Amino acid sequence: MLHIMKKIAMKMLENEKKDALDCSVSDEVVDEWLDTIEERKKRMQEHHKTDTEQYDMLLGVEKEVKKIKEIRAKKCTKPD
Amino acid sequence: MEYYVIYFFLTLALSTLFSMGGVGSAIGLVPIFSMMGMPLNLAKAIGLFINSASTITASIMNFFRGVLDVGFAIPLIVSIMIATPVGAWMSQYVQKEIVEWVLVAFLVVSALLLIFSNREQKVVYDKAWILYVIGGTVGLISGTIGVGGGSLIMPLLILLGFDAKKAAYAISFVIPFSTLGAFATYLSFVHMDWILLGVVTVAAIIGGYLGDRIMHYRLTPSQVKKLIAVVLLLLAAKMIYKLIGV
Repeated sequence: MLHIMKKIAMKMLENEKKDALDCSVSDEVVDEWLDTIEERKKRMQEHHKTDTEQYDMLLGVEKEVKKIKEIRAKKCTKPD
Repeated sequence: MEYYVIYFFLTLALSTLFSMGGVGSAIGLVPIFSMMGMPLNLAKAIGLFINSASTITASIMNFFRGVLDVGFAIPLIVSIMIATPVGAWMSQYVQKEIVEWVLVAFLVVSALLLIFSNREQKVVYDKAWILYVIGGTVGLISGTIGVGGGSLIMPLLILLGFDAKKAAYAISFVIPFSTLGAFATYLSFVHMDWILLGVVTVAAIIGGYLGDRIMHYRLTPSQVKKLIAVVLLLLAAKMIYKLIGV
């Protein structure tokens, strides 16, 4: 079940990339998204849930958001 | 037909606005529906279902974004699931005006605290017992007056130190558990217009989707906090207007 959910999450993130890659969206929004994922990861680590599919899903989402952040850094940095 | 179109767009607009703050739109829609001539208990039942539809949509999206912490919401869900049907049952016996005045006072105080509190959110008071107390109290009130409870839990969580957006994500997940139970209770003594329910549910799902996207990508936590405060004040003004019968 969670395997299917992970796929849906990735598919959804693909669709949402368009929004996230829009330079008019504040950097704070993406940073706060990563912070929330980081907090959830810590919480799951504290509760020893790192071998669950949900944790894997979270890692996958984090990877995608970091990619978005990297692309934004290149795309949205204004030349001096 | 025109009747359904009006309700569709009204629900769409308010569900979008309230989803941006992570709360259900029933607290705004119930008084409006009632003022438009709908029987109050029917308005409350429909409002509760609308809240479920829009917040489920937002929660599904938040889950797949990885920002929804299900574990944190469990104490709220447990207590609210028990208390809301009790509140819905009590609504037959409690004088509505008394509860509504209490709610008005709560909305105003919460909004003012959100606007004027400059508290640094470094410490979060997230002990399970306080979440049980909040869930139980909010469940009783929201079941009685027929709202989802999100606009009551939201300021409390923010005052406990939770980030406005994170509180909104958790609340979107909690609300369906309270509203669906209360909706079932109302169904036992309300004559339901099922076509109208279907129409406004579709509007609420679309509104939940739009509002959630706007909140996630367009608003910062401090903007969400201010937005919620403004919405709470508008609701309080609307309720006072209705209660004093001007």
